[in-house]
Amino acid sequence: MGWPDLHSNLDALTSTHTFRRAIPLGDEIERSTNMTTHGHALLHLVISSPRDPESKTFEFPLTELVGDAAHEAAIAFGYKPGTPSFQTADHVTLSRTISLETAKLHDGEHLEIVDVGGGV
Amino acid sequence: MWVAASEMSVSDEARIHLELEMPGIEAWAARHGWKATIDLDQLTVRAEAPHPNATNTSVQFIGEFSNYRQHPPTWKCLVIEGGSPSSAFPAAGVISNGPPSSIFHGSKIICAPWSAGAYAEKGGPHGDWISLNNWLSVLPPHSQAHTIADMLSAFELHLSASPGLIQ
Repeated sequence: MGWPDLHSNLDALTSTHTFRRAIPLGDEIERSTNMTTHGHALLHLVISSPRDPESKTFEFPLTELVGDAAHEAAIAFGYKPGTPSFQTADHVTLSRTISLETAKLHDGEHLEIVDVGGGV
Repeated sequence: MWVAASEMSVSDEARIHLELEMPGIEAWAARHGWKATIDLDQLTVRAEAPHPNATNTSVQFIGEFSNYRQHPPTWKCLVIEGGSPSSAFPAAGVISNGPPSSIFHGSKIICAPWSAGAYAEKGGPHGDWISLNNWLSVLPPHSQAHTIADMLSAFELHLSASPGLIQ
């Protein structure tokens, strides 16, 4: 099995998703409007993954489930399907089944992907 | 001089993978306050952090990568209590919204698809994971960690849930 291409999915992600967009770190985030053309409120999140020294910035609808957003971010970092969630800077692991809004995340918050698959 | 992939030894291949993964390992360790040491000659990685629920105790995870990535690494866990190595091992625990079961097995092995000791062919409990060669294909909901930094992240998450030590 070859070495995983950590960035191979980024182009596909940016080009095929209307409501979410991976923005390379350093690009200016447009904050003048926080709404999509479909009226969904958006949240910008700065996401790190264990395997990549660089973080990436994403935008997601507030209604997005944590598990779905984490899956989307994990794919952009080159992960195969797993059980990803987010961990906050205070090391709180978020439930995958609640929305980003219910998780009370704020715009620009830093999160890290964690795999919550089990052992034993 | 370029060497054809077919001429590389298993340990050469392992060394290349370790080198490729070093930036990720170092960045993860810096973000999380862990000590991580990569030995490219011995093909080992040591990562150490305090046990969050055992006073004056640190835990070292020592990975041996001589056959990486054909096989997963062999992880051992060394608990240091009061500055002295002991035979203790992190106790399994669960945390809210975290993994439903721990990688810290009661028989003192790291029990995950990315740990060679978990496989039946190495004396572990998992014949169902088929073989060491299959480690990248073991599916969720088992813990997924296909790079070393992903493995350290799993250690940290499961260690955060550990209520103490077993002797």
